[in-house]
Amino acid sequence: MAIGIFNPVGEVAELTSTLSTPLSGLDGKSVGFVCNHHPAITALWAQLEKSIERDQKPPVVRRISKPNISMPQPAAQLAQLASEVDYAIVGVGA
Amino acid sequence: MSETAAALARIVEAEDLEAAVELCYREGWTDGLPVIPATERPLRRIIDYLGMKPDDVIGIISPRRGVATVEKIAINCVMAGCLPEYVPVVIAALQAMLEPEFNLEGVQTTTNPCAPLVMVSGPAVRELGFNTRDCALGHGSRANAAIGRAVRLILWNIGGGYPGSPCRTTLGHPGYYSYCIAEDPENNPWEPLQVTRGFAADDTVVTVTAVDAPHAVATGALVNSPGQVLTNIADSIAYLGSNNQYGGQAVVILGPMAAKCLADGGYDKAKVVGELVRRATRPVAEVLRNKNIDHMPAEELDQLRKKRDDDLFHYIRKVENLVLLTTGSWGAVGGYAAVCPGWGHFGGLTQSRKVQFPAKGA
Repeated sequence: MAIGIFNPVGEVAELTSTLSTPLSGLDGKSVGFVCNHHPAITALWAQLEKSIERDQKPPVVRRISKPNISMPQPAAQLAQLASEVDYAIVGVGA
Repeated sequence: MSETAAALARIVEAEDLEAAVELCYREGWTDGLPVIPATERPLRRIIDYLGMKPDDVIGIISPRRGVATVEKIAINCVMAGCLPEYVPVVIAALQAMLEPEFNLEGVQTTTNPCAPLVMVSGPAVRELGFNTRDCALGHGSRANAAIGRAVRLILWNIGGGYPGSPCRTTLGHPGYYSYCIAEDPENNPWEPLQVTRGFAADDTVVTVTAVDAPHAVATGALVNSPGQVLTNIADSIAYLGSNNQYGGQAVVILGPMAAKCLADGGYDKAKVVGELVRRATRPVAEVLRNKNIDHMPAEELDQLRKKRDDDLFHYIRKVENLVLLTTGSWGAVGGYAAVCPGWGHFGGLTQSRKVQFPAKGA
């Protein structure tokens, strides 16, 4: 006789997000940098920040750091950043 | 893991028990150990016992963002061999792990070999038959094994904690299969863990911390002074490769002989913790020679570099960061204890939840 087995895998929660306005380009747009400052990414990140500031000339630059390399960025800080810049670059070294 | 018809169905048919067990392997519903395929009757028994709706949501489990409904939790509990009475303990452990400070996503995905250690204290330790004597951290008890196993299966099946991707734990440890212990209510000479954690003595409480595998310490409690017992344990906390060099928390498990030695020597629980924190040190020069120290919080590292070479560096920064409990058997001269190092300040930080058992007769 066949046995009915219940599936233990949970459904995946839907992510709700709103579409942001597409940017025509990065030149002259204000930028946010979000980084976890893992030692594996520090040198690359510094170069990336420098090149964006040099080439895109953002009028506003905001930088926020994760509480440590593994903790998520607090949502309130991300929301604040989103209200201040046109785009953000997120870097996570591991 | 898979997108087969079985993966998408709520109930899957198998020809017989052997086929059902193989189906669980094939669908990736187990992490390697065999499971009890979840059928209607034991599942119904758990849900009826809980008195909750099957689609009630306990939380969302990272990194897969799986929805932990009561039904899905109960299915995994059946697979782990849980009696219905165990399931409130599993739910409390899950709720504790979902607190933001625990950083479950990080715990599930870090390269560090830490796993959630479920520590149960309070009246249910005896009521549910947890082992707190010989092999208290090992095998031999259904309650310890099945509850620890259920927690892992939930992290696996609902949370998607699959090794390789996205979980990058480099080594893992045997506690990834099942990692649940209980405090001994009779042999603990001090206030119980649930009271230390801010609950009432008659509450049953689950405390979780993400830690590495237990490292045994022969304290020599039968022949040593309390001070030497503390030094032996502290030395096992303060080793150069410990992630506690980056802060965070650790768990110290005292066997009853070590606990008695300290209690007879006039140490209350707070004094034991304070002394362990004070003694778990290494000279600053040794710590700074290790380039890996760069994971330490930047401000703390700056302060450390200003210190003298022979100043002492503390692995546990404050007393709240050391969880102390008593369990296990008496043994002989060894008077064993165990140290479980934490992940550092990155997450897995200790959380506690009162277990909510359904009202009797409800």
